Amino acid sequence: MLALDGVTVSVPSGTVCALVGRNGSGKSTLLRVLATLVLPDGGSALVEGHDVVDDDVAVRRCVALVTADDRSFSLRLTGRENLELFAGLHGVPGDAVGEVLARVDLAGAAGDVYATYSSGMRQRLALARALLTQPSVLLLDEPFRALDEVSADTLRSVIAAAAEGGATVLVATHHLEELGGRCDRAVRLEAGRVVADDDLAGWCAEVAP
Amino acid sequence: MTTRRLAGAFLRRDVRIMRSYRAALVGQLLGTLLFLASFAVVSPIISEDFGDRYGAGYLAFAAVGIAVTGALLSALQAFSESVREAQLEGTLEAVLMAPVRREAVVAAMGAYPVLAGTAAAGLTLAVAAGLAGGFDVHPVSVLLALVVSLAAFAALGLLAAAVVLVAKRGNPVATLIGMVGAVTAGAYAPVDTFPGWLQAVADVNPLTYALDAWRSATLRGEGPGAVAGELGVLGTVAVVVGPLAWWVLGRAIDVARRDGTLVSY
Repeated sequence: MLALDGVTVSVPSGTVCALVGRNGSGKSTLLRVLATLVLPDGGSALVEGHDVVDDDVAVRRCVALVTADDRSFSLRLTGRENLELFAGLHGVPGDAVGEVLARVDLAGAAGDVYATYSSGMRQRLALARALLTQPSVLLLDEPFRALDEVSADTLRSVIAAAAEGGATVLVATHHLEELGGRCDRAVRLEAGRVVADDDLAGWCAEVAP
Repeated sequence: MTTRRLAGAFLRRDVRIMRSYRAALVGQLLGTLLFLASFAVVSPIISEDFGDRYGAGYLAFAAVGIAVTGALLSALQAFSESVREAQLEGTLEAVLMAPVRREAVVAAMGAYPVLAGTAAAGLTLAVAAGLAGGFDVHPVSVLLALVVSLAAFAALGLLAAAVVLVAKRGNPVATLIGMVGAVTAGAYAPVDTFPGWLQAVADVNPLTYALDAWRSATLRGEGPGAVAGELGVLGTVAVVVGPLAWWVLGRAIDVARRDGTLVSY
């Protein structure tokens, strides 16, 4: 069985593109291929002109991935300490950590141990990690899953700001409404194939708050 | 530069995590010192001509064995255990998103265990020197032995990390070498007291050459010329296995990426 089969999608800069489809339709796999975490068997994928197989280091310089998995931080470290590790790995100055924590409303909990964070706080910390590197391509895999309404609004603002700043944003989601109208396009996947690719400009204008 | 930055980031993280396990750290150090103390207890019953034959009293001989074996097995297991921990914790994919070669990330992940193992070895030797004396140190030889033996065992350790990435299990290679390696290399008893077949095993064990070099450098004060043979063997291991391990590690990461199992355990 192929996780992705003949998928052809091109997403221009400054665009928010939703990936929708049932569980197992290939949304997460597509994001993970673009993040260079999964090696495709065939075909090609370019991120900012860099091939995900042959030029994966360059791809990782411009991509950030946020997943719904909250197991990607050290439980015994604080939120700030966790982000300081990733700042170090990405060559980002340490003072950027405080800024991104503030952007996701975690400044007050920065010194708390990660193990004490709620699911929503963990999700926001993952978002903060993605923002650390100011990525030109932001990949979000079910980012609204654990968020309350206030946190979801923060995320929508981050998505909108990223797109307005020229970043490409791909969001895998089951509910387009979660994007609150901040979505330019929706690509529907079924069994690893693209079955629909819709311009959502009109729909977004209707649902935008 | 990049490797130093990565190593620094992991080092800071691991020191912070270890600070939250103070009791375990103290227990680990006490365990090593008690192990050393048990050799202090048996050393008086070792024949009196041991010092004449091997250049130092038995306690000093065993202390070098314990310290060097501990440091080098730490280097051997550093990368595979760090990868394994990251798999179990779920952080492996996140750290492998760093915009550098992934082999470099795995190598940097071993920075803390290698340094901690080396520091523990230094402490063991210092305590043994205080307890028993009998050390005659040649600093240049010690430095060379440290660098070359760590390089050889770190190279083998990178191979063990590749096994963990693909096998999703502990580090069978490192565990096997660790279990049989220390005894057959003569960590606790001179190799020339072994039966012939065990001496043959010692001859193909890189730890044997490391212990010989270290004992020459710390117990008999011998200069670089005297340890050149042992360091040559270890250097060859580092030069041959190092690039091979780097390549194998890269392929192992690609296998895990192709299977989509980087975080499986």
